[in-house]
Amino acid sequence: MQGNRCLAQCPNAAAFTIAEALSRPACTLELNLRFQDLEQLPAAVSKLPRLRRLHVQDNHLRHLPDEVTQLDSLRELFANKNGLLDLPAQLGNLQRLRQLQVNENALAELPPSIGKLDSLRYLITAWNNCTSLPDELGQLRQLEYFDASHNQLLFLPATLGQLRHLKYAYLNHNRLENLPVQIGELRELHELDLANNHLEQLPASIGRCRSLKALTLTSNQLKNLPSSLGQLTDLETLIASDNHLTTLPRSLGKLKKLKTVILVGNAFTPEARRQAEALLPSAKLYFE
Amino acid sequence: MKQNLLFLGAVLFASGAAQAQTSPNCNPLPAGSLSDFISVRPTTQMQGLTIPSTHIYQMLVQTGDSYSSPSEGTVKAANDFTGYVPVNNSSTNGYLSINHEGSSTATSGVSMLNLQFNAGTKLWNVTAKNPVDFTQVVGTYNNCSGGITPWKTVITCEENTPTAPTDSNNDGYLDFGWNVELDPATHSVKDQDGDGRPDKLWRLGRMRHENVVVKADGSTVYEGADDGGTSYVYKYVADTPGKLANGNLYVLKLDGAIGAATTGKWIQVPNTTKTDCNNTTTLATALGATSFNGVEDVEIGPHDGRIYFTAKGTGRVYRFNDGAATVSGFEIFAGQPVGVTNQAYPINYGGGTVLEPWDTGNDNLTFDTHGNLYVLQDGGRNHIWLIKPCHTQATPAVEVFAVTPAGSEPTGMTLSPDEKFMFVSIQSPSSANTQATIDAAGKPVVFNRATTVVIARKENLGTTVAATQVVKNSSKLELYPNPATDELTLELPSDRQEVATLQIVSVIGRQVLVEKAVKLTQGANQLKLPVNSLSSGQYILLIKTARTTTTRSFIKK
Repeated sequence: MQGNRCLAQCPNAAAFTIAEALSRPACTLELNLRFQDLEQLPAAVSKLPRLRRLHVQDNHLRHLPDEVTQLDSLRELFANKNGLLDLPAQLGNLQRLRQLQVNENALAELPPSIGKLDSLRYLITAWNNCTSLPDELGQLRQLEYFDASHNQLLFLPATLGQLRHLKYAYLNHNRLENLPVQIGELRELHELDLANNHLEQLPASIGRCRSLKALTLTSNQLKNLPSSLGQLTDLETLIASDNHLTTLPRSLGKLKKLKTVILVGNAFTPEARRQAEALLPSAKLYFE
Repeated sequence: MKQNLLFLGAVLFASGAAQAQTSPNCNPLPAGSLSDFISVRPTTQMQGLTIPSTHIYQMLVQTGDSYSSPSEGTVKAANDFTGYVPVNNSSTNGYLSINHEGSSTATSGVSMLNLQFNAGTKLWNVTAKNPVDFTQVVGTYNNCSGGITPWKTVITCEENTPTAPTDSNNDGYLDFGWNVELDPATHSVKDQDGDGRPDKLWRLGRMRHENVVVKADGSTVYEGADDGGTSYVYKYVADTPGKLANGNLYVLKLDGAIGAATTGKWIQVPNTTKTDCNNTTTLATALGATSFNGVEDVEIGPHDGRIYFTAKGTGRVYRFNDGAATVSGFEIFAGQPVGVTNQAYPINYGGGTVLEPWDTGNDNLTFDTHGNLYVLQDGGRNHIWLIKPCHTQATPAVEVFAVTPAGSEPTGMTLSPDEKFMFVSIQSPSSANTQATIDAAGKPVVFNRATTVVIARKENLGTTVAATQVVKNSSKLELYPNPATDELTLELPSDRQEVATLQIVSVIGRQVLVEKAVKLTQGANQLKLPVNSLSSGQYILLIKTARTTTTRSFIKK
């Protein structure tokens, strides 16, 4: 009740400067510092005990101060479109953080403590320079959305399979040559985008991703698809343009929900196209 | 002095070049046309809005203004699409739909204004201000540009950003990244499937929508989308004219490289399942769509039927003929030719001619019925340009209509049906702007927050103010202490006895001190203004008399 009374006295929960926020620290729930040409984020930001949302995107930050990790109430941190070279080692202290957006920076790695972000549901690290992901990523049991596209990822941690609540995974535009077998443990995965990697084959275990509705494999080196795809009974959309495919596995014929198959830029002969279309009479196939 | 002579020589040279290059084939506009003007002199942005001397503006709404119902709060920031929707095709009675391109659902949305033009005062009255209620469609995000349909509804475009998509109501469609059709009269979202609940326009695809234009046939829709790494032009053909809920979606694929190809085709993009609708961009990429760098606005030339669209990243306006399944005549209409980054156009501003760089960032497009194309720039010097229909790259016919306020981007222009009035927003001007200019209603306007204005020729707007006049900050005003803790002291000399009103606004434009009238005597005046109730921060003090407006910024400790 006391907190409610306090909020009732706050005319505005959002602040647009640090000074404005610090003038009423108990009121400030959101601090928006976008487009302010910031090169440093003042450590004083830690003196906002009720801050839930921090926008520091679209600045010139190269580091976030360690004090950011003291923001015990923080739910959402937007630090995208900066020049971040690293993240605070103790980032995992942000126990209430639900969304972390650090895309379009210059990160080479994520801190292992990220695995302690027990509340994290949305993690966006796209458009950075990461070549690997920490094993601790697998500890993010609440994670529903993970976008690590447009990095330099060479491999994925086997612990990825522990992300039991993951629904959306964007791993496109990396340098992946294979996937961990454990990817099949992602039973709630709805969408998986693996476009623009160096994959030559998919693990058979991918067929265990039973909730998968959209699978994107554009621009890889795939010569065939595993027959286990026929186990993806919820699959509606399969996108596999610009590979080296010549046929589809016959098991796909069992996928009654599959309506869209994009196969532009593969090596299907006219006869193979006819066979594929006969295999999936209720789907629309695109070869060109 | 020598430098000045050199500059004069350069101007004269440019002027001669312009005369030699400008096409003589631009038909004269009817007298009194909105688009008949002499360019403003191109400059860097100043604090005010600089428009041709034949034109004047009236401020309609600014960020922080209260909605008609105080419980609805205040008008949001980042004004973008600014669509005038006439009532019964009236040019004096309509709605004005203003997008708010916020960076969260809380700061995004649409404000719907009711407007009426008073023939006596020749001023527009805002008779109602309402926010559009998006709660039943889980809100909107990043409302960018949009369009007005031939059946007089509004489409607001969600410019989806890399924020994590969610399906918070578990309807199978991701929450944001759609077009949304609005009924301006009820300021509400339209029901598309007849179930009594409002819907977004799923089958037009999920992407980072920039803009949409609906052809007069009521079925054909063109869309621009900039998804960062990819940037496509789409066409949607509704099954039933006037109903956009169902139809087929296509994406443009050129028959070769940009700059070389003059033909192309429309590739159908699957859009029948929820999963397909959620993944429009991925599907278009896999189907081989041509990616232009930063597609923004798409419009239809009223004079030639061609499709025009902007590519912001390269600074180009493209155009083509749409032949249903194929396109032809694809070319760069204006802006940077392939391999060129320093395209400039001769601008005759009356006192001379200068070459003004086109730069990048051409964004919103608006045609008048004569084919004059307004180009609103988010980049370069953020001008409002005008390209005449006779323009070619070899014989340019380009004007600068406006130099916009410091820090701002011009957005969302539409015209009244009679084309006497232009509605446009000034998005995100610098909060440090303090200079007031007097608008057609005689009201001082400081462009320090998002502002929506109507612009017209002077004979059509306002009766009491002859021209937009800049009110200089009075050098005589003294204000101390600054920063202040409890009280500000104002030393304000006056050459006559008169009444002044004081007003304090925050730097984001919120009025924190309602106008307070004070009596000034001839000679020195000292005023005390308590500020102890203000929160710490920067504020602007406006002092208005019948003749002047003076502004000063101060800091409350």
